[in-house]
Amino acid sequence: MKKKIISIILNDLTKFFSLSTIFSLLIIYIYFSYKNIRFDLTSDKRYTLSSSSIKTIKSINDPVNFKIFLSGELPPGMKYLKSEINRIMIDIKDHNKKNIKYEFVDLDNLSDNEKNLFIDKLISKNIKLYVFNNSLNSPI
Amino acid sequence: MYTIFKKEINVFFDSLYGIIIFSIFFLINGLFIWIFPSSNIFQYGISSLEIFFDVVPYIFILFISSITMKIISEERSLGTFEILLSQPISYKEIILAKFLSCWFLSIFLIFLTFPYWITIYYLSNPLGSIDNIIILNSYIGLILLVGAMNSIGIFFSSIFQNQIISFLSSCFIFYLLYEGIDMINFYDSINLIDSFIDHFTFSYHYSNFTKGIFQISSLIYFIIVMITFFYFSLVNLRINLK
Repeated sequence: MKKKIISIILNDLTKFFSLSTIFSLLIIYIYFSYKNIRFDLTSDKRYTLSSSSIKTIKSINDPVNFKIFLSGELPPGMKYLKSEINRIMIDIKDHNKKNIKYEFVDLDNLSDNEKNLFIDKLISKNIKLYVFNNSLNSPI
Repeated sequence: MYTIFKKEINVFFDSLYGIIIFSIFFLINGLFIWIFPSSNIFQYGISSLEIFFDVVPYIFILFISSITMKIISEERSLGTFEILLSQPISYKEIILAKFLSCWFLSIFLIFLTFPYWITIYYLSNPLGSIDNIIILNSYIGLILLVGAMNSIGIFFSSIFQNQIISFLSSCFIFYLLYEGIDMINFYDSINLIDSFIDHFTFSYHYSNFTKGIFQISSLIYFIIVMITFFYFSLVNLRINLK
């Protein structure tokens, strides 16, 4: 039985419907998903950077480091948000590779001291903090 | 090959079976989009067909498995598949004809929802303020999704001789591929690379289309699923019938 399957699969390799086409398509898929080639068809170009923001990004001469506090144990909706933000950050970085850096920071990984300092800093800037009690996750 | 294609479509339209599938499909769709209070377009208040494109894959999970469940398993259990094999056509042509006929029928079902688009167009205020390209893109995505589902359905129909089992298993696999794998993301104990799992689900690639993004990798994904399961059913028939 096993020999039969293997011989059938090996005989097919040069045909169109075969494992070789599937694998070559998989490689093309990985290539395109890595390159992230996409066409934004929305009328207001919701998913692409506007020309004015590209201009501002290109005009940055000093190093800018983005710290995005969106990492760690996230609920699924937030994971989706994170992947979308990641995509936008890749777009931004493409226009100014030299100066723009970004990282996703997990608040739970910071020590208590650092965390409290950070929260104080946010409060001093008039940013309200809300703590979500997720049954799976520990609150900040 | 063309004769099998024509025969499958004739079977569908000549019998009560086709009429029932068509009428129930439009009844469910119409109820969800225009009448049911939790999901109707009037309460939603935005002139887009987003609701339709959110609901319709779940309806297709049931309908495509019911279209494809009998396509090969019936012929095998009745013994008419041997007659088909005695004709001068290859396995590839048989499955291709059956796949294309199923895909044609599902595209026909999708095409008949076209009046929704016109209705939304005239309901919008100011007149015509809808994003036509997003809707067109969503239709392309839906047609590709349906093609991938048909290919999987035919594969299960070729495995099992019992129609009910092929119906249930293809239903299960559709749901698993559409949304089920995505549920792994809900468990934090399983630490996979973020958005790695997304690449396996229908819903991720399909939602790209409904959002108005044409991503080449999503197009390739659906083609891969179609070809893979087409090839699997080809191999399966060769093993069992030679």
